[in-house]
Amino acid sequence: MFGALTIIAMAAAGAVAAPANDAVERWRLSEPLAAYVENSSGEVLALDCIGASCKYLLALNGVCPEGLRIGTIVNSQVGETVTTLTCHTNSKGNIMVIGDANLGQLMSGDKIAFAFTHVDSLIAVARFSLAGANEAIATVMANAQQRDAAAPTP
Amino acid sequence: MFRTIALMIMAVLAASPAVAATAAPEADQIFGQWRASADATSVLAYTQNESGAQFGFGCSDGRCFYYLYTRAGCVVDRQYDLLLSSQTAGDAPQIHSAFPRAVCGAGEGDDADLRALYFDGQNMPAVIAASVVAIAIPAEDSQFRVSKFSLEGASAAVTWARARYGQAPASGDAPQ
Repeated sequence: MFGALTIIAMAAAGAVAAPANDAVERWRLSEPLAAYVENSSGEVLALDCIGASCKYLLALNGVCPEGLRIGTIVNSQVGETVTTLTCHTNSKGNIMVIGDANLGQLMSGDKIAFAFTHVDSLIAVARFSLAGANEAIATVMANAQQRDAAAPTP
Repeated sequence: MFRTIALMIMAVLAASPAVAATAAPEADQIFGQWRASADATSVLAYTQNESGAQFGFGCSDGRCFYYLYTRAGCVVDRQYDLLLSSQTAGDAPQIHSAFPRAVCGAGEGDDADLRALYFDGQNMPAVIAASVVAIAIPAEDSQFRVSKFSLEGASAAVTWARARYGQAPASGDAPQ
């Protein structure tokens, strides 16, 4: 369903070739239509344009039952927004689809953070670097537009 | 509105917990870890954690609202999206969450340095009918500041404050 599941699984397994210092805390293009960043806790934030539309995805540590929707506050140095995370699972792991399609507007500054309800600690925070995010996101979006423009009209 | 509540918050902050517990004004009511007080024009129900942060409920000038005071402060008139996440005690704990939009208010005069976040009570009865709540506040540096508070006695304290102010209780405000 989501190409980023493969990306995330590869990142978690260290299969994405990269210098050690770049393997975390920096956005990377995994393929023309997807980009991701992994934080020091092994959590992943990704932009996935492999499907019909572009989606921002999170892969967090812990269980994420299929279909569960939880609220989250997203905070960066340019602002904050409230949106939902929807869990999807398959054999490769679980991911959360971020409900705000305009999340890219918050992708400025050094870091972006997500606060959400957590069973054990009540509130958990996942934080990601935005170093290289603008370039990676712009590349993926441009590639997606080229793909869509080249697609035959029904 | 904020002037009256700010004065009451300042009065609470000025008293150490030990002093407050033994020398509280006669009008103060104690509900578990929460206490409530009233004067001629306003009511306040609140709890204070070990860091000196306050989470409470107040009514003044015909309005009732929840508030959050922390030492970190906030930017006056800026709106903040908050995450409140509370959990019931017991063998099958339930989690309730709310995302109120709060506004940062400042005190006046001698209380001009006081900053607190205010928000309405939508979805709050379910949130405060629990044993503990964590509140996340977005910070300017893309971080979140998280404060935790006991909710033991919260529903009863808020119900008392609403009744004292002459406001009908909200659904779910029943005493614990």
